[in-house]
Amino acid sequence: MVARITRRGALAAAALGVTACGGGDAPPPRGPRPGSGAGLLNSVLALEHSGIAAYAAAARVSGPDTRAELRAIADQEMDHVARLSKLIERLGGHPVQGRPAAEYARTLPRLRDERDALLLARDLEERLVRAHLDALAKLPAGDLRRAAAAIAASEAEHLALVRNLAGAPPAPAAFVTGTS
Amino acid sequence: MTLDRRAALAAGVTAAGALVLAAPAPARSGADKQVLEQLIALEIRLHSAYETAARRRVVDAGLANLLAGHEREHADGLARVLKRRSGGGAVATVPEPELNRALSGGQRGFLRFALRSESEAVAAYADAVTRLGDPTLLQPLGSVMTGHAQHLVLLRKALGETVLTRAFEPPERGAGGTQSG
Repeated sequence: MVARITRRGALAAAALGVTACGGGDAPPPRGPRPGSGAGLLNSVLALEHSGIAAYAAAARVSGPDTRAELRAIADQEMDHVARLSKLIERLGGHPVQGRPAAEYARTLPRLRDERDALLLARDLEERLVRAHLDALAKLPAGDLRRAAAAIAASEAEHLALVRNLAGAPPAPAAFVTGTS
Repeated sequence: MTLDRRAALAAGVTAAGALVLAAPAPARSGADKQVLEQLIALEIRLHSAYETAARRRVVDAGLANLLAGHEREHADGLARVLKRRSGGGAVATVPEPELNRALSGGQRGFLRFALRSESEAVAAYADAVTRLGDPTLLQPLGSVMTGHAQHLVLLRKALGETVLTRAFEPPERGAGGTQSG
């Protein structure tokens, strides 16, 4: 339990570090209007960036089959990054950029084996589901909400896959909130 | 395992509770009521499909009963919201003409039908959240939608297909991204 809390904390620290680096900054004078959703999307984007780094680390300590699945998930996270970045730019904002891999590596927990990798992945996907559902509830009506919904659903699929890889039931609950 | 179940139950209760808590006032508009009615009808149709498939032993009973149970939870939660908001009662549904054809197609035929139906459910929720006027409904409806997304994973696995097929569920027009399967 202690190790798990530590991993959660480490991942949160990685994400928050990136957010503080860009997503949480005050908007520039000619940037997006307040309430546009750009700041919110940037916070989620920061978490996606840290997730890609986490998956790279997780893949390194996993066996070939799991590694292939984790890389497939990471590919989709990259697609999410691209989509979120475009939306933020359209709103007049500046998408937060990912940090160098070495910076993420310092904040990620030490992964000993595939079991650790899947624990990290599960925590990450729960955070991503929660973050996108939180964003969905705060974004203005229209296509921003649709994008948040489409990504939240994708993250829920990742969570189910990761749970399955860890030998747990993929879809244990009717409502997926990212808080289990 | 026990902890997993407890955690899952707690998460489910939280989301189901959020649906109820989101219902203290009359519906803000007839449009929201209509959206809720459409989603309830969708959930009831899915529940009925899985229940029928389990009863006729067309698919693995464990899978069908799990999914039927989830759809029932979704329908019940949405119905409570609708009732408290507008006094609305049961939502009428018509039998799915496609269901009988799917059932006659055996396990594979039904799983394909279920996969298509779950995909349509995710799309229906993703569409609903763009239009809802009441923001307190967004997160709970989102957690139902993500539940349906996880059903897609179960069904693709049961079909022996690639589990992750696209980065956006439902696919977004013009979003680009990885598409496979």
